[in-house]
Amino acid sequence: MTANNHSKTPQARAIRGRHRRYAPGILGLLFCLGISPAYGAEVIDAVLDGKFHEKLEADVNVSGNIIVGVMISSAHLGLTSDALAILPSGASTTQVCLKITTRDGAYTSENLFIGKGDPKDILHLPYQSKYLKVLNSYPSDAGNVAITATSGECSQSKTADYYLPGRLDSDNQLPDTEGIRIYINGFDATDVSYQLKGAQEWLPAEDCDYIEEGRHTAYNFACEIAEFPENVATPVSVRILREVYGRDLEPVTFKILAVKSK
Amino acid sequence: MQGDHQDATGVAQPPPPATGPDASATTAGLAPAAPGRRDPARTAGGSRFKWPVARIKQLLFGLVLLALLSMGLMAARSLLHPPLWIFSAKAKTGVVELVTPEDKETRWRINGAVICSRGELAATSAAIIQARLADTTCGSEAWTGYRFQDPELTLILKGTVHVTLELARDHRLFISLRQRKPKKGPDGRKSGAILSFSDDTPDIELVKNGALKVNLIWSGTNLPIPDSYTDRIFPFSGITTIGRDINWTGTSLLVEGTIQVYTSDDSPDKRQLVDSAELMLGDQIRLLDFTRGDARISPKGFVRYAPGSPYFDVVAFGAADRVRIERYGENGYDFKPGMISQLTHDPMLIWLLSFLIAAIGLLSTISGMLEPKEEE
Repeated sequence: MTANNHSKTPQARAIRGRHRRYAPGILGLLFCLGISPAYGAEVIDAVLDGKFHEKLEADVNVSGNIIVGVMISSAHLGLTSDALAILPSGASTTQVCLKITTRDGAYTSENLFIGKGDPKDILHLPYQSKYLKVLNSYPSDAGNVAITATSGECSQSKTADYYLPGRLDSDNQLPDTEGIRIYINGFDATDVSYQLKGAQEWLPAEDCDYIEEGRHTAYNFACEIAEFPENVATPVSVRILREVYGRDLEPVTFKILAVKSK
Repeated sequence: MQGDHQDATGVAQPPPPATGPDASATTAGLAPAAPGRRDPARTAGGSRFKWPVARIKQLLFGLVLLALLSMGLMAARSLLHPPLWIFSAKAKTGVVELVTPEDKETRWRINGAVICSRGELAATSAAIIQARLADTTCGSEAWTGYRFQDPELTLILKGTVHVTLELARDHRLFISLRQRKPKKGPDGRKSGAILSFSDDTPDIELVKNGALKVNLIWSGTNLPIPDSYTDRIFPFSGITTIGRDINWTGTSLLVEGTIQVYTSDDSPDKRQLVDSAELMLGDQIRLLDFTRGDARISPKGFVRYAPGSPYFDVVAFGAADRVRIERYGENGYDFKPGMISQLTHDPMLIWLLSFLIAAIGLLSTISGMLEPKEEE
């Protein structure tokens, strides 16, 4: 259960070398643009803890989770290209429980990854599924594959802290122009909305969209956060509100630990 | 083989020289009669006419080839340009979802309903003020309820509105109307939902803060209006989802039903049943708009609600090349007629094959009759 030293891999050396060479320029540019230095961060590989656990079965056991996905919109594309990563966690040792769920519930996986390194590094989560063809067969548009990367062991019954997974681009950075998606299993809910917490109080609720087409076995609502408002503090507190024909259901609150900052 | 002769054992022999009275027949491709055989073409006048048996066999062979080629071409056509089918669904279900088309209006009578608006409606008329409810029929405080006494209160849905009709566990009827960003339709008029009254009460636009978020509840918690306890019919046009796929808390399901597929109206063989499938408890089917050229054809149908009934009766039909059926325990499948059904319900192919089979049969008979027989 040891994190590998990513700097020893040829890919990592190449990445590091490139970043060392361009680091002053990149940091200067980012400073001028007012963008967080996280975007000039290096990438380290996390290590899978134990065996890779995944399940593909048509005879679906429907999910009981309300929060099924918290991710950068195109993160699902990083699964099949081995480019899935989370934004810097801010800790030298990071435990990430990565869960993948397709909307039809046919494919699920749950794995613990451990990353060690600079708290400002992006953590690459090597995804070694034997069902990559199946995952590739889902339409590439968002909405069919949900990802959560939560802090701590997967066995924790309730996890309230979420990392933000995304797909590494060709420069080994996570995109800073994409929105964030939260996939919700609303169960009987007719309306789902989300609230972000500002400096002191909750901001006005924004509607989530009901996903109309296809199956809703694992989730049926998608909340799109194009950009976090300026007055939102990190980690970002998010509250999910659900209603059944006007009658409130119990809200669900969680935190997104590391977010893009501008 | 054209021009070849066969002896009694069937072995091909070179043709004799084309001289004398048989010359014209041979050059015309007709075989002269073999020596020692009865000539079936001998006429009463003693002249000899050679029936073209070899030609008939060639023709037969050609017709068989043509038949096979036609089937191949028709099959290829069906694959490349799937024919348009009319799908007709009939179901008993606890939930129906609709997306109304942007260029049409949908009108429903909703007397007796409590109209729940997310946020108060602007008090633009006395009717709104009088109809406002102070109780919690609509759920949380975020919703405001209105009950109008007009027995012919009409809801007009303009343009694209997302509608869900659902029966609660106590069999009460709920309808939700959602539209986040109302936009103008092709006629320039704003889409949305409007309440229309039979008296002088002005129309009420059900939009709050630029979004349509309205629930209609036939609650029965206030004074009942007798007329509200009769059957209700909700005719519709739009993308239709009948039933809801399984989750572990939902109870609004499709109970039973059938889906049938017919040949389309523009088929030469109009409205012939091609195939059908039974729908099971928990199935979900979705009929989508069909686009042909610039025209968009939306599914149509109606929902019938009988108070106290545990499910709606729904009939919907629409043109499509397939219908998606989501079924628990499976990956879902596209219901559409198979290749054999497509071929057996292609009137052009059936006509052509019938003609060819008749021709082949006729020519085979003639050929058999004219085949030279050995003398007994």
